Amino acid sequence: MTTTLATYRTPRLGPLGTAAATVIVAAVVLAAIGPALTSADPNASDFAHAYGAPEPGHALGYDGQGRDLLARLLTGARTSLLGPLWVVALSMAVGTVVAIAAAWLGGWLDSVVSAVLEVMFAFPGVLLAMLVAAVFGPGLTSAVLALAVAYVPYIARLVRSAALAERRKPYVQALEVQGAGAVAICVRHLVPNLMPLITAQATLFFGYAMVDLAIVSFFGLGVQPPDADWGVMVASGQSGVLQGYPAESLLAGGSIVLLVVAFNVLGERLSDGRRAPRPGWFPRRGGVS
Amino acid sequence: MTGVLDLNGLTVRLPGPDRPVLDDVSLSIAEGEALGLVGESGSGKSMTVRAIVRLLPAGAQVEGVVRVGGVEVGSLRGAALRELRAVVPVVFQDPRAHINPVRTIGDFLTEGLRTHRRLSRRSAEDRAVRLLDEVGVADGQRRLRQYPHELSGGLLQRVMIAAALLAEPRLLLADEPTTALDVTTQAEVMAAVDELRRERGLAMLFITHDLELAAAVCDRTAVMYAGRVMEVRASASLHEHPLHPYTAALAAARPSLERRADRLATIPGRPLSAFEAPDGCAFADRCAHIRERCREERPALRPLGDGQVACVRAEGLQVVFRD
Repeated sequence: MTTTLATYRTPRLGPLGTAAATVIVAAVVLAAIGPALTSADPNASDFAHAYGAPEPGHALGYDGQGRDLLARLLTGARTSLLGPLWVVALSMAVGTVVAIAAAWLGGWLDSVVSAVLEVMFAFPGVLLAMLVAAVFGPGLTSAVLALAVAYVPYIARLVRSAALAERRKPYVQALEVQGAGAVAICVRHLVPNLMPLITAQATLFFGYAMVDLAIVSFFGLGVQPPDADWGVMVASGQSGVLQGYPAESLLAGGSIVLLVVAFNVLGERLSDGRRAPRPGWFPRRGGVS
Repeated sequence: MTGVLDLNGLTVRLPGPDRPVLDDVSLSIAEGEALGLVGESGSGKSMTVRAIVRLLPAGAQVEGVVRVGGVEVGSLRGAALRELRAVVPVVFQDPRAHINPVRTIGDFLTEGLRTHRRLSRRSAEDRAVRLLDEVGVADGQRRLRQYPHELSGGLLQRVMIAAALLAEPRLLLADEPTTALDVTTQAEVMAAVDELRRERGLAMLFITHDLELAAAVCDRTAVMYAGRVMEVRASASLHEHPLHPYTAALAAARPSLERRADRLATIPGRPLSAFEAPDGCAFADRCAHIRERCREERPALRPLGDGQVACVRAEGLQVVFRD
């Protein structure tokens, strides 16, 4: 039936979506090969060049401690992209498994899972990350784990509702009647068919996770100096902004904004209108969940 | 008597205030026999199939006994239930809805063989192609690479039938397999099913609302009304000499090529669901031959002639319907 097939049609990216995808691919390539593009050491400070203007070999100039900005921006791209990747990968994996189990088994398990998810919705991810940092000490790992936990309910609720709808479809029942086991049906049919939704959601959440991780790092609870990270750079550039050297904060902040917008646009294009509320910091528009 | 399928007093209630959808259904199918199950929408035909493979809505209460090949189905759990389902395939009405639209035909046909029987991809595909050929799908290798939306409804239903036969079943449950197809395709698909069934000595429960089709492909036909079995007998004699007033009314309501008629005969009233059925005979309110007794006691399905009928006046009416 056409209605069934429409759910599976390939989304069109359009010019904006293509631009967003290009930005993301470029950022990933730059993060991968970046440090090879410049000979400067991102962590070598030379106070003689503090806030130094761009010059040959140092295309973007220096930060307040005389470190090469381009090298730090490129190295920072790695942590700034890998952090959200882990957050998204972990929360998607856990959220999907939990959601599918709840949707498939139903009954009391579904009720318990839904209740737990509702409780988890009450915790903003960034606050949880800060709490974890306060208890276990600051660092990228604890920030990533805390955010991953905080993101689980958002993906789980979405996947659960989609899986419930999918589970009632005749083809799933037909598989049951053929004697296929629950795990086989879930792994081979349910999850692959939900993948478009999950992927689109993961793309959107990647952007959110990037902002949240930057916030945590900005407060000094995520990536620790001297390691380069865009959130850390926005924070360490603050004093420069006051002294009339906004380059560090602007470059790092601009990179974050550019990528988050790119992920958002791409995620929207992929999700085709089906999206979960934004996880995170302030109560979401549309009120309580 | 232990047939391929035995239903004994099968009663199914859906959750809610006393809503039976099947009411004391007893049927049996012998080895290699085809039993047609006809009735109006909502008469419980599909529910019967669903009860056999235990695919009822959550919370449904089942009474009575379902035996497949002598094994009681009601008590099966987990792996044993999956085992049963694997050898009692169901062919559904709308093939398009009952196949995963994002997997190829090859994936669909070989999945069971590769997981249940642990066949290699190669030999599973070989078997699939052979079966596709048997059900009249040529060019099987190419079909295996195609997706469901690339096949027509008739082809897809043949694929479903091939999938059903892959498990080498003794019993096939067919739930209006040709209703969604156009008439010429319908005939072709039915011919294929009929031939395969006879070749393999396969028993079949064939659900349809087409009396003629049931008569053409089934050895016996059972007529259901409001979740109850009204009459069971050899297809030919059911068709020619119906014993139950409902069957007779159904037969009279059919248009015929031989006879001219300005208006078709109809059955007054509307079809009842099982939970609306009165205490006595479920058909009482619409029956032209009703007596006081019909409202008071529920007629049991009892042997008469070459079959069984659930009507207290069957003997007396026999003469009336002959005319």
